[in-house]
Amino acid sequence: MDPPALAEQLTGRYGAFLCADEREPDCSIDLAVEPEEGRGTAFDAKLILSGDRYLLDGPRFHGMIDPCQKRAKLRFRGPDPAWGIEYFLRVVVAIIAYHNDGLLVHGAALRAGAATFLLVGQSGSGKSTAVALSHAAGKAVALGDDLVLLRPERDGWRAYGTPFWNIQTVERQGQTSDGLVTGIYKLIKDNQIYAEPMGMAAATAELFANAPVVNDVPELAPGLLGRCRTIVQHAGMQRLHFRKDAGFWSVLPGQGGA
Amino acid sequence: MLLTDVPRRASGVVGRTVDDEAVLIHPQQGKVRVLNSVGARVWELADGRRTVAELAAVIAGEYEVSLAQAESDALRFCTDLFGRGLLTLEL
Repeated sequence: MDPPALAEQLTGRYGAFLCADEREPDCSIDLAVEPEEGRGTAFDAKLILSGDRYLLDGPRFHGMIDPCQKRAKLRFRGPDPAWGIEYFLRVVVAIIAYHNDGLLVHGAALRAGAATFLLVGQSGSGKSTAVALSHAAGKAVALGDDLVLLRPERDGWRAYGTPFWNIQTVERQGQTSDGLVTGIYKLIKDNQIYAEPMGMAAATAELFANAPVVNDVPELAPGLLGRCRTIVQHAGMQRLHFRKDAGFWSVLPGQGGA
Repeated sequence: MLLTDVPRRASGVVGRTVDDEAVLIHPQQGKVRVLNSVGARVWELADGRRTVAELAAVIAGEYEVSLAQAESDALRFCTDLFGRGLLTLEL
């Protein structure tokens, strides 16, 4: 891919997330990309914390993220630069979010009126399905279907959309919007629809498991565990048993449920 | 594992008590485990000074369970945690 075409692709995908000129960015990234012929999007990069910096190293990647200096660098060599950059951006956002008192979560966020529901679960749990079903039924605006940013504020935790989506079929109208989290739900595929409470320890563990990138850095584990506990204390978490239709909305609070 | 073994919480494992239960994180393995209130108490007692038998005696005193049952449960539980790298044994 030639540089102008790549730049155009990146602008189209991430342009809506650039901050205004007058605001200091949370992170500036220097990118150097060497496209290669061939195919393949499998990456084998290891992330380590070295002092204040995170190093991402692998056959295709040489990356550095310095959350204190708000800078990151990537040298990528491979056949799909756009996906390589996306991969790096996900890592950067997860780390920067954590160091700014927030958390990037494997989850879908759906906003309906004043309520925003965070549906967590790892790959295959049904996040994208829930988003697609909700979109088709006109139930909610999706902020994201795979990775959602959480940030604390006085009244709780606010979910923000990200450019990191799985499905391509739903218009990403909510990707740059946000909503105060009303409840967090762990998705469980079932043939019945109901919600059941989760204990705080199980909920904390679940959120920890759904905090990509940072849950893989041993040095962050104690702080991350505390962060997850704080979030579930504020927003709670329930198991949401759902089947492949939009009927699960009937058990969400304010949407027909208690 | 034997009742005379002395279990200790493995170094590097991050544990936090949440509403009487406990969340254990093994950062090197990327594993997360949730313990119920009795399990959390056993985890707390596994300080590298008590034997499994002594630890079970504490549990029998605090919960409505016989000493024999507590010993059996504690032995099985500690063996499980040991197998997962969450406990080590004092030599």
